[in-house]
Amino acid sequence: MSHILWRRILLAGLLLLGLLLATVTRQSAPTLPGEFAASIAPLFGFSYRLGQNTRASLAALFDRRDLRAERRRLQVELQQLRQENQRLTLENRRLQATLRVQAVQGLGVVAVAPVIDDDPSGLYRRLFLGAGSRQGLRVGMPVTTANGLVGVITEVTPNQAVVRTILDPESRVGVRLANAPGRGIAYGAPPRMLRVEIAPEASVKPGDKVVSGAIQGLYPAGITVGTVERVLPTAPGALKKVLLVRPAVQLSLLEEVQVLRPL
Amino acid sequence: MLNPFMRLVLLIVVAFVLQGFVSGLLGDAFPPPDLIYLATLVMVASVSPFLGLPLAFLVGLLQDLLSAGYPGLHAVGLLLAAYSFYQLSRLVHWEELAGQAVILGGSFVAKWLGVLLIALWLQLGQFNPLTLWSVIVPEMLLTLLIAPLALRVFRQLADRSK
Repeated sequence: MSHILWRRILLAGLLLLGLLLATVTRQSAPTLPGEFAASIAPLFGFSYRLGQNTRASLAALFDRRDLRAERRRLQVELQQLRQENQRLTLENRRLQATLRVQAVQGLGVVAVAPVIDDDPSGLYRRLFLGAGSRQGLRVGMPVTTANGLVGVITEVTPNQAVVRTILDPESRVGVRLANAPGRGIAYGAPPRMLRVEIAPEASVKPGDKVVSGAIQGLYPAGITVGTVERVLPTAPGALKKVLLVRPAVQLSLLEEVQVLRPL
Repeated sequence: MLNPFMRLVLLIVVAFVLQGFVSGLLGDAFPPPDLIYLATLVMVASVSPFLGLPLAFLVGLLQDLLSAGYPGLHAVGLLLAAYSFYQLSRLVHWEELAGQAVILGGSFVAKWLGVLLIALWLQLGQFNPLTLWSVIVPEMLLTLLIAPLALRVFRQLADRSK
């Protein structure tokens, strides 16, 4: 038999193996890839961090103008910040007491977890956290920051977790407009936008805020999701209006996230 | 000195490390160029198709597992990329610039066809070219742009194995 025929047989065999693997792991072992990725993430995470730091260094290099003036300004600012720090320390004590009340009565922060890596593919938008089940993290816990919603935990190992961000193509977030009536669903549209489908009657314009809004969804209601950047033209008779929304959180700059108790 | 197999392993590890670095460097602005795909082409170019096709499949599988994705998605993508590499190499020369551009373009399209084939098989409605064009097109342009430099680096790693 010729080499070409054997080559085609090999291709077909591997193709079938790929289909079989995808099918079996999706149905029988859906957590396997997540557990593996979370375990390996620290090995390759350092190069991702190195890239982030290089980008930050380059930005600082290009932004730098007058170092001496900058130093004087920073010294003045340092003095002000020291004063501010004392005031904030006192305020922090007060707020911690408030948080304890919130944790008991409502949605509490389960953990503050460091972001250790991004996924190495442009296809997905997932983050790996340096905290896992030992720190109290569980699958289904919403992940957020002070700026807005980040995503949801999909896999957990003892010391790592995988977060499916709101930009992931598989992400679905129930949303509503912050300042007007109208509910919809936000789909991940990588690399950096969300595609929100909302009722055509909703009054919305670029600049409007979008917040999480499902009453019984994965995410608590009222967390900022993003800002409307474009309202796509609606065809006559269309059942949905489509908005392009820029996320409130810049995922590539995340260093720490807050993990919330699941609904 | 490392043996040929260990050199190929080193090539792939370096590709994954560089992929992480470039992802961090570009941030959210652009999808990163697919350096793992370029390293896979260099790897399959240095071995016979009977070894190159399974190796490409394994590299893709590793990429799927590292991405916490569906095992098989990138595996079949890189498998079809490697197969189209061998097919196109019979028509044009991989060592010449024009031939390299044809092979890179053709195998890149084959890679995404493989990814979309598995997505279709798993009925992943969200993985379709209409919603992913904003990933596919910039990734292809950046990959082609960085290919001359990346291929030179990867070849130096692989050539020492000979």
